[in-house]
Amino acid sequence: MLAQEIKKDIGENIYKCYQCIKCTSGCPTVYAMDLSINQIMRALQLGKDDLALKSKTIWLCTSCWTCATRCPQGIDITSVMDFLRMRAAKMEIRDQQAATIAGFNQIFLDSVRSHGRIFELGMIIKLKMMTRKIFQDLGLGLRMILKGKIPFAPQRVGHMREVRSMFRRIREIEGRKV
Amino acid sequence: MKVGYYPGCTLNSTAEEYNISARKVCASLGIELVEISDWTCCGASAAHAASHLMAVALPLKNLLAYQKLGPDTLVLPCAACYSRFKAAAYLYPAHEEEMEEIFREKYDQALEIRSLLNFLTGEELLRSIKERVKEPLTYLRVVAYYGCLLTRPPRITGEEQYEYPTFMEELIGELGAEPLDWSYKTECCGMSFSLSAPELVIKLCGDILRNAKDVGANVIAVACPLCQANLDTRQREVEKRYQVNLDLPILYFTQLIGLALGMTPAELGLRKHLVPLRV
Repeated sequence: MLAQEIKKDIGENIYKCYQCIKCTSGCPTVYAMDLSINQIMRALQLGKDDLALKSKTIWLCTSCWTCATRCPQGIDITSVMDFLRMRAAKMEIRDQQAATIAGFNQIFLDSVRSHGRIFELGMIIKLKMMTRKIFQDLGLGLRMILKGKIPFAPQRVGHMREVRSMFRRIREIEGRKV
Repeated sequence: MKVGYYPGCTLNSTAEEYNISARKVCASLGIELVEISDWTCCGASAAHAASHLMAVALPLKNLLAYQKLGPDTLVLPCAACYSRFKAAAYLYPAHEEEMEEIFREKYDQALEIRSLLNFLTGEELLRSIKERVKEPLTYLRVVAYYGCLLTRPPRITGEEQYEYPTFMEELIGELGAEPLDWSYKTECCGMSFSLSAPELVIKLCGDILRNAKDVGANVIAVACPLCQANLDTRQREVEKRYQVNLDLPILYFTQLIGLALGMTPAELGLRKHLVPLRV
C-alpha cells in the first residue's frame, strides 16, 4: 500500500487525515482537478492507490504549499503530491493536460542536465514539438523576444563535467535503492 | 557590506530587469553582491516533483560553492530559488551521506539564506533606504504580491506571518507610495504552468489582478520572476477573458526602490515590461 510506503519514504502519516477539507478549500487549482485533495488522502487511506496515481490532481498541483501549511494534522500534503508524481511518472498519463505538465517537468530537467541552467527558447521549442500546438502563444512569444526577454543561446556554465557527474551519481544512488 | 548573491536562471533572461534593478539599488546602498560565475539551476518546481535527491542536490551544489566564498549571508532575489535553497538546507541532515557521496564534501550549514526582499526590509537597510528617498512615490497605490514561496511553508521559510505578511507593505510605505490591503497577496499565480497549462494561469492571475484592481491599486509589487512574468504577460488574455480593463504594471520591488531613490525608468529596465508604467 502506498500509504505505508509514504510513511517509510518521506515520514508522512496519511492516516492522520480526518477529512476537515482545509487542504481542498485553500487549493488554487482544485476547480480543474478530477479528485479533490482530501479525496486523494482518503483514497490513500483506503488503499485505492490507483485512484490517486491516475488522477489529474497530482499533476495540476502547483506546489504552492497552502495545503501543507494549513493542515491541522501537520501532514506535508505537498510532499505527498511529490511522492505520488514520482510514482506516477513511470505510468502512462492519459489526460492531455496532465501529460503536458509532466512532460514539461521532464523538458525542464533535461535543460538543466544539458546546460546547467534552463534555456527557455529550447524548452519552448521542445514543448511545442511535444504538444504539437505550434501556434499557441506565438504572439506573446514574439512580444517577449522583442522586449529582449528570451535569449537565443543557452547561458554558459563552466565545469559542466561537475554537473554531469552530479546527475550520474544521483542516478547511481537511486538505482541502488530500487 | 558584502553578501553572496545567487541570481538564478531567469534573472539572466525573462527577469533581466530584476537583476539590473537589484544590482543598482544594492550598489547605491553600499552593498556589494558577490556572485560565483558557474552557479547552476536550483531545480525549481520540476526537481522536487521528480526526485528527492535532485531536489536537495541541485541547490546544494551552489550552497557548497557559496560557503567557500567568504560572506556568511547568501541573498536570493528569486522566490523560487530562495525556497529551494532553504528547503535543501532544511532537508540536508536527512540526506547527508548521499550528498557526501555525490559531492565528496560536507555542507557546514553556516550560510544564512535570505530572500532579497527580506534582506532589504531588515531594520537597518530599511532605514537606510528611507533616508535616501529623493522622489517619494506618492502617485502610486500599490498592492504587495508575495505569492507562494516567500512565506510558505513556514517550517522552512521561518516566516511568522505566512498568511498575511506585511514586510513589503512597510517598504512601500517608506517609499512614499500607498500600500493597500487585499485578499490575494499569498495566493498562487500558477508558477511554471505558464507554459504547460496557460489556461490555469489565466484563471489564477485573473483572480489576483481583478482583486488588485477592485481595491484601487495602480501597481502590483512583486519579488519573484515567475509571478512577474505570469501577471504581466498573461494580463491581456485575462482582460479579454473577463472583459475587464486592468492596465496594471507589475513592478519588482527593487524597481520601486530605484524610482524612489531617483533612478530613471530606463536605468531600472522598466521598458522590459509588457504592461507599461505610465508616470
